Amino acid sequence: MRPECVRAVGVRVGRDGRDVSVFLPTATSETTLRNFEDNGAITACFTAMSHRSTQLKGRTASIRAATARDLEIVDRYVRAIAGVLGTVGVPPKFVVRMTTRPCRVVRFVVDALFDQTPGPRAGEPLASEGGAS
Amino acid sequence: VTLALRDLKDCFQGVIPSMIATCSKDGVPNVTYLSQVYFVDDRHVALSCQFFNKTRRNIDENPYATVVVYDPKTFEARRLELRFVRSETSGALFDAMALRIRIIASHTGMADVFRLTSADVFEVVSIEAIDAFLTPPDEALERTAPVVVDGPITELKSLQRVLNRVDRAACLEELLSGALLAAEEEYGFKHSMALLLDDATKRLTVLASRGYGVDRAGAEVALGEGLIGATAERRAPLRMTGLLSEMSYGRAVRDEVLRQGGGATPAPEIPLPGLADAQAQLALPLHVDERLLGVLAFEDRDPLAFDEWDEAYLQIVADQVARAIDRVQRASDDDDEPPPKSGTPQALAAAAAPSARPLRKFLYYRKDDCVFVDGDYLVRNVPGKLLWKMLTLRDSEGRVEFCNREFRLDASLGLPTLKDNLESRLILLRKRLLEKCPDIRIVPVRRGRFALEVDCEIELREADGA
Repeated sequence: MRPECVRAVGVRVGRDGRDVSVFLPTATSETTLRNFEDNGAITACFTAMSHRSTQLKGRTASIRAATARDLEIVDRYVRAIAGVLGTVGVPPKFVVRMTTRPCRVVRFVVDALFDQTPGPRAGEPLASEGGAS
Repeated sequence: VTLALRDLKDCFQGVIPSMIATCSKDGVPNVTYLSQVYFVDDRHVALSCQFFNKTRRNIDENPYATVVVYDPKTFEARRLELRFVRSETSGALFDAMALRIRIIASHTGMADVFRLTSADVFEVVSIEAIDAFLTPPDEALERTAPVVVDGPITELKSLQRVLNRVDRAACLEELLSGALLAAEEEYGFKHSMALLLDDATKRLTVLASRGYGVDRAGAEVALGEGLIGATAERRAPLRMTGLLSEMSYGRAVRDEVLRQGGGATPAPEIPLPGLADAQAQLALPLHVDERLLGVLAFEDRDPLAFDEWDEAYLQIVADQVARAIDRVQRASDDDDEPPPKSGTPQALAAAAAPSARPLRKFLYYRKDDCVFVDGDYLVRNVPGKLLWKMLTLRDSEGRVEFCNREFRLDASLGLPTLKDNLESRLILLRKRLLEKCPDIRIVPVRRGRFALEVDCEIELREADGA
């Protein structure tokens, strides 16, 4: 079995805090989207370009095309990540060229939350209170 | 386009964190960020196994992994398909990766907790440029993004100017501050320091610094500690990039351990003398033949500030600085002049003055030659002994003028007979006084001779323990 990963271009947390949607450009996520259709298992890792990172695991619930409102979130994300990477010396003029369209929205139900912050307990489950943000 | 693994070296610098995906035998995926992808040879990379618990379990079940890396200069993405080969827990590769982790860990007091478990070697099955990751160049789009200006200029003429300045220096202090000034003027390296090795304590002491707002004279680094200590120990230049993410990486573990309250207790954090948000550091050994004299260290907020060329080039500069240090230290060794008699004309001029002046209380701990002024730490070891000697001679004999030679001959100070570094100790003492007790100044009188200028009343007290 061959694992595959892709950089998402945005995320939205559902109202109840238990389902999360990630935005994936179809140009780079063909294999990943096929994997979702195969077995539905998904893991997403988030960081704010700092040491702290969080990982969500779950089951894919639906995959659909991005709407104009979804793409507004995506555009905000690209501007933000260009700014963040700019502070570590990556030229923003290249970052704004990230492919974002067409884009698929992958909604998944969160089964488990993990603290990926480096340390002896990295990878251990977080208290199961949901509410990812 | 066929990509070779060696073309991806920029991607492995750690500026943009790489991603790794693995999956269990049941197909449950795992994805996480990696701080270090290490180039082994044209067909292999190594990943640092520290805390990757789920990644580790997956690899044991299913040896395939996908890693995505990014070029920090162009943001191009590359996908590596990997197959696990072996874990190494000793040897050259393990040592090289462990050193990098140790440097980060020791900066944050985490050396015991945060260590390399194994260097995991993977065969690179395929390398793919993810062309679709970026859209084609589009000037209109790129204009909407802020532009980063880059570029220090380096040339042979500037090398000549630096060497001229270094060669002309009449004393150690002028030499060190001149070298740091030149590095800024010629190459734009604004944050720098020069540390000299104290043979007695085996520690490196900051004698000159530039670009930190405060004079950091007296800050110490042990041999082997952090980038600077490791450079001294190995006598080889070391360069680190992506410090912000990795330094905070170390800090995160520390916070975690402290919060959990279990396991090993981290040692007190060693303050890294320098920028809190440095993203690139370069340290160069100062040595003459086999003898280590100190370290020149540079840092920058730009993670790409120092490249291989800077490292090689600045080492040429550092070698010249080291020779010049050796030269001025030898010159100072030759300063021979009899010590002044007690009660010289200027003597006691200060003590005789009316006492509308502030009172500074000095406390000397004999056990570790540590001097405090008004309850604040001032200086210790040989510089502490030197100061105490001067203050007590002034008190008992009314002397305010001293010469290098009398200190060299004074067995109670315990200066080595050869290469005593007396001058560097006097520089440190002078700078510490300037910062903590500007009422007392060490001023040169002529070659090999200096005076103590005192604008305060002095109380001297000794204690046994610390």
